[in-house]
Amino acid sequence: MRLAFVRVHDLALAAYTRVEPDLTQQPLALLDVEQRGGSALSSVQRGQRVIVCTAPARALGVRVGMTGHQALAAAPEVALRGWSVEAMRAARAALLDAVGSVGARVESCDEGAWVDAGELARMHDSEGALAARLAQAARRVGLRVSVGVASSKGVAQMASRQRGGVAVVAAGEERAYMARVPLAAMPMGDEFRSALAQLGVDTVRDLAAMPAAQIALRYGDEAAAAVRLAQGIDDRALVPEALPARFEESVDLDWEADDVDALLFALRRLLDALVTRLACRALAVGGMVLALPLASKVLDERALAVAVPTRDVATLLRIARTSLTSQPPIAGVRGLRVTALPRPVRPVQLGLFDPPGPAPERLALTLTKLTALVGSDRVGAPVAPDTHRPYAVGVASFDPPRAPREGPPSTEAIPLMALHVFRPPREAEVVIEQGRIAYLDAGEVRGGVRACGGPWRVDGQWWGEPFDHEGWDVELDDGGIYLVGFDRARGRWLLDGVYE
Amino acid sequence: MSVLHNVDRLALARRALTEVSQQVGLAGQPQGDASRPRVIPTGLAALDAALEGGLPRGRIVSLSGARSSGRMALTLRLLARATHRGEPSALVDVVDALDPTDLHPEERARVLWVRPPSMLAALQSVDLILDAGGFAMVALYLVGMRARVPASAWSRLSQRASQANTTLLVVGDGGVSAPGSFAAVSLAARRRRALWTGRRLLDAVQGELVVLRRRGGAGQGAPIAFGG
Repeated sequence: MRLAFVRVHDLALAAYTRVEPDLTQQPLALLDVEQRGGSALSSVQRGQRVIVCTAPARALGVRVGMTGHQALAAAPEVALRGWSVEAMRAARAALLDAVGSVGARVESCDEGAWVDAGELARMHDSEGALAARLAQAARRVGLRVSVGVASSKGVAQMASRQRGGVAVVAAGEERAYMARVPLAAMPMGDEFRSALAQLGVDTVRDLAAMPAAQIALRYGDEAAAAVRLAQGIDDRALVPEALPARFEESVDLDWEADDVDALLFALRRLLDALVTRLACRALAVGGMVLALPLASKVLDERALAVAVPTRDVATLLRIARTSLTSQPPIAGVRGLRVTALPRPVRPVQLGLFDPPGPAPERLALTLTKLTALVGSDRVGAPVAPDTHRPYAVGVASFDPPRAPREGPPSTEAIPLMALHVFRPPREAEVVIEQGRIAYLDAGEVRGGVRACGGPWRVDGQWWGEPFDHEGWDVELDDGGIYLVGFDRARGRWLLDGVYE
Repeated sequence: MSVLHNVDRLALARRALTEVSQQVGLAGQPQGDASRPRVIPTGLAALDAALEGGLPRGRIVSLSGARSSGRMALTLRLLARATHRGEPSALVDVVDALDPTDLHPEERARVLWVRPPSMLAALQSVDLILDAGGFAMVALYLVGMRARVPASAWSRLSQRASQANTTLLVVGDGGVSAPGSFAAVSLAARRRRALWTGRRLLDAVQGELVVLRRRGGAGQGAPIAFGG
């Protein structure tokens, strides 16, 4: 079994810089404390120590292990943050998406992810080339990694500790490789480490010479595993896991954003990160849920429909802008969280002679804007509902077929007539003579009846909202032809429409 | 020998291309501009002849008339014809007057129906649809609306329609909401008579269509009958 381990450098820091790349150019130090809300710590507690810092912070004298107060004393301009569970979870998911685009069998852990390299290496020139490919995929999602390839999980993990590069441990050379590893880098408990010091064991080569079975009896399984790892042996098998099904990115804001442009600026970075992750999985955004924690402690959550799955960030931003502009948040915004609904990209096969219809992304955006303008029930393809209720209407989602209609254009005449429906119908009064309408008065429409047809009676839906309707076709003296209705349930006359 | 063989194949390919172009309605288009058709045939032979092939694309076309003159029937007919090549069309129906059963089920899927609540929203809707591009025709149905449409709106929509190569059909009563001189073609629908069977059954409404004005062409022509 050959395995590659992809290690993320300083995951806690990378979780931030992945969606805020300009942080790498700022003096920033992370303290060993979990942070909830806000992009900076409001106060530093005693004993909180720096676990990682950026290069500009190091240049100012900040070092890992300093307390927060020491860091501030060394460099007052350094920004202090805690580590974020949400950001680290998203970074791990991004890593899995990235390495999952190279190999299907992956397993994650706190430091990174293992990838089954056995079959994959055959698809590349060498195991080194595969490792380079994995590093490139991780860089695509904004993570700086190093990769180790070996025959066991533990050795691959140790090999990946070589910073900024790729290390391949050939099969059968694991023990020799581990002999060069410093003992301090070996994973083991403090008790066993101090015992080794008392025994005078100060190299991995010496550790490998110890009997693993007796060590297990004396110091426990963890110590025995360290001895076996020193011998280049790790029996743990790869346990492949499913790739993340949730695509979510979030960022906290220091200030209360009440300007749409400021929100969209922050949102763009999140969408960039999301779209890159989705691209690794050959997916697109089929819908979004935008959650905005407000200063008033209320969560503004809005579902944004995307008519056609897309990875175009500009389109997604326009959709978000439409929503935020039409319904602004009721208070200042303290953060953003975007959850994308993953959908396969719709393949569009254009014919050689097909006319250039609207581009799917532009059509989706237009439908979204129209919906925001006139309402969702007033935009779409017209639908005649399956009911006898007079003049019932509905709309379906508009997704026109691209293929031309079959056959050459017909030359049939204009339809005999079409109805211009009055919604709502207008109140009317009629004069009935000999069972027929003789005079119609509906406000602007009034006059003697020249010809009259009907009644055409329909009724139904007695189990729900019943209707009982009579329709009359009426031609007035001025030549106008109208549809007059009689609501039998309420006993009133209505002007339903005009034939046009 | 092989050169002759290739020449024959080229000729065959050209002929096949011409035949297919005729089938999909690109015949007569200037070469090099085949992807931007110039007209939408209406299906009324006399009207197509009067308009040199059909309604001009990228232009505003005005259709006005009195009640029961067949404006809705004409609108739906023209929308259906416009979708025949596969491009969608749109009906911006300010007065919410469409009865979907008047459209063939196959045509319903190709027609975007927008029911804006006001004239302003209607003009914005047309602007958005034209901006999306790819629509063959957008019909703005204003029958019964008396709100005035400013000239600046027609100017903007005219420019949008030209950029999108979309026919903007404005259907109304011919009053202050009409596009006036911004229309490249002005049509007037007139009512002729209703056909009744046995004084009980309304069979059809007959009307006639007149080309009132056509930019760059002949003036008022002879009435063109349509309906029953």
